[in-house]
Amino acid sequence: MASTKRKRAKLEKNHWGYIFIAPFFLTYLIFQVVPLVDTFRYALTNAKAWYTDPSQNFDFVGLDQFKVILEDTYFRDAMYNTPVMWLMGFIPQLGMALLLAAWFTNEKIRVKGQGFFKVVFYMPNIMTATTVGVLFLAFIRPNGFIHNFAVSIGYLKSSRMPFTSEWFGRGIVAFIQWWMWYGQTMIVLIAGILGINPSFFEAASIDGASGFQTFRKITLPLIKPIMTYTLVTSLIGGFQMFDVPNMFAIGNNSAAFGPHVTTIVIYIKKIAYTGTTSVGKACAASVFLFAVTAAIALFLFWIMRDKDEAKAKKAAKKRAKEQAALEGGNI
Amino acid sequence: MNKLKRVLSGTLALAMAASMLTACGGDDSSSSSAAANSGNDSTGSSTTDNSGAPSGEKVTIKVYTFTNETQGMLDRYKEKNPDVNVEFDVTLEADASTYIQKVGSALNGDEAPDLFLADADYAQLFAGYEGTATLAELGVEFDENDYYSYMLDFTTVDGNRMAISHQATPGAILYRTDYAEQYLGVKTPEEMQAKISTWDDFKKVADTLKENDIYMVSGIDELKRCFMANRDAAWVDADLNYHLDEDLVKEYLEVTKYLCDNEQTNYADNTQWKPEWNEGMVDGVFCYFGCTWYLHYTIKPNCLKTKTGAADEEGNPTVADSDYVVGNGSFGKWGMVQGPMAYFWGGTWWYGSDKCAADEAKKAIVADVIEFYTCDAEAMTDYAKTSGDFVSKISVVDAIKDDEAFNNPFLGGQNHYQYFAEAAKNVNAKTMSKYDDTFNTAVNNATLAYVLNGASMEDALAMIKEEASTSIEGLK
Repeated sequence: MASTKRKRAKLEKNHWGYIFIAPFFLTYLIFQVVPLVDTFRYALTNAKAWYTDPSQNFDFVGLDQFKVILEDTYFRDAMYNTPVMWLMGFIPQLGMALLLAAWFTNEKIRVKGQGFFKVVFYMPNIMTATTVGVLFLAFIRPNGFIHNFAVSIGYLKSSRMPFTSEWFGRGIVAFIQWWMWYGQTMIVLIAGILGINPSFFEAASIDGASGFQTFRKITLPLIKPIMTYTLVTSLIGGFQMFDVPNMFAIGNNSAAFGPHVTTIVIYIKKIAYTGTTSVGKACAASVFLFAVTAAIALFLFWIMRDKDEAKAKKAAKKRAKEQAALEGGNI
Repeated sequence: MNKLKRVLSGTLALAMAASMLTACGGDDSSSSSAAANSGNDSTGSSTTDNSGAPSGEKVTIKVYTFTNETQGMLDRYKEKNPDVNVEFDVTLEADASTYIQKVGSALNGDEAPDLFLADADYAQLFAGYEGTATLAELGVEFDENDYYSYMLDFTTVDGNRMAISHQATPGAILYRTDYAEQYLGVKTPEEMQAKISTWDDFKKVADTLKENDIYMVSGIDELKRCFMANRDAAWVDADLNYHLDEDLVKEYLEVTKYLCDNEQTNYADNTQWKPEWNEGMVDGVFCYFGCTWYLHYTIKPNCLKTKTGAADEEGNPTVADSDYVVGNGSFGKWGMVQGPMAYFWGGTWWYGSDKCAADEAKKAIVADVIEFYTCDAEAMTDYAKTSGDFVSKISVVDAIKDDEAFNNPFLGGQNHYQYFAEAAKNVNAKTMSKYDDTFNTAVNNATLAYVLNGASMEDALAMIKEEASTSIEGLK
């Protein structure tokens, strides 16, 4: 009798664990999973936001919405702007982060005040993206320092003229993305480098490898998994870029190059909330964005895979097959 | 040990409960203090509280608005009606598309506003929303024949009047009389009108002023409201057929390009409501395209150089009544004429929600507020005299338009009421549609492309439809 009681007490303890984690999973289910699945359903309809369409009737229209958005020049512009601005920011961001990470972890250089620099480099990431957007908007306004500088070097013909160049606009957005994120990437990469077995570096220095050689032949290959992580998370974030370019593209304070920094999410927000508030169309655009991001992410995983390991696996399989064939022959 | 555990857990539980309480308390006090502080009218809330007269339970009315006028108007209402025990919880969102989205998504939920306001750009849109109560449902009673009809027709859905405005909003050109006299030799509004009665004349005046380093207008979209109100038909009809008034839009783009190319704008990309837009009101810009509310709520406070009122949330000084003196900034140096085209701009329509109509106590107050500003002749006369705003009730306008109270010191003594009473008769809102806000954005972007980014006229015109059809599904 006593023993069964004890057993039940134990079971109840397990039970409590599930209860404690339940609120998260329930909230996640209701507020994330259900809308997520619904997005796919609505993408096949011509639904409008319920408040503009009291009847709330909508029809399933198959893949028509996808056809509509793909024919929309503004969607194609957004499809172009977004990856371009992401790459313009990401390539220097990764380069800078790699360089700083290599310096900070280099035993020979031993950079002083590392903690201080790490904090300083990470700082822009703590700020709200919107705040940073407003800050840079102030810089490029008439009498802002970038504006004044552009006038003084003759890039702008008059102090009354705004920046209009589309590449300047994309450049500003890319610069902000770079500035905000290289510190974060650097921290991740440092963690990756510190995870490498130090004996590799020792062996390299005993063999007389230069700093660059060590970096290329040891550091880079061994932080590949971390690089993949950085690349894929940044890709996802980059395709969903919204808050910074939104400051330049929409609203009373938008810049003259606003249309050229419109991203996919800005486009989605626009069709979902203005005009006829076409929810179906917005969902189709979201699903399309998801598909594109997923495809590129999978492709990245594929090119970043460990080729030696894959080869070894293949070879092992082949050997096993041969072995089996041999054994079979023997019988 | 066990006892210690019990004590510890007890304390923890208490602490948690306490923190919840403080959280709620904090929320409450902050919202009420915000409501009390944010009013421009300093006497507003305190008189209500001290009078001791309010009867019944305190009713909180949730208000959504797009304009900073509203808070002052509601405070005024409270001040004049001390026996109504009400608190207004005002949410202000100035960006049009954000505001539309906010109202639209809140309207049928628990957080729905009781009273909400709309600008002309989306007044028709709100009228069509499910969740908007009709004026009859709210119990607002008025004589339809006593109003400028465009204002009521504008927000009528299936014969139901959904909203009413306290103002009519004919437009004008506000120009600097001192520059006019110095550089153009113009002394009266009539002479000024003769100088800028066509757009070609307007450009000639701009050229003359440019030679004297005065900018004709503030920025790229200054002429937009004037031109767009003169379209020959709405952008879309009920079946979403697109209509472009090609000649008018072309002329608009050409005049704007002329002004920008010749640097006759204060800042080429300056648009209305940008921070730099106000700059020219103090000095350096010859004219602004404004209307009734614009005169009192926009240009008058912004033309001042010295402001001595209490600091606002951002630490900038606000305007005190004593700041309105001739010689402070450009106060008193403005005149008003019609210019090349008559037009109207904006307006503020009042709506009640279905949620409000279902609650007797709230309904009574919301109806009272609306009637206070749109029906009550005495209150409207008083409002018109103190604010200078142009009211929508014709009998009130006729009674007061010749009153000397409207010899506006801001306009150097010109009577703006007489002018607006005349201009209001020409207002035609048949050219407005539900989706004007979308078309506004589209026109803005087309103007940017044509004027500053070198797009061809053809492309710019095509852009308007293209961009609009992105947001308006089924545009033909």
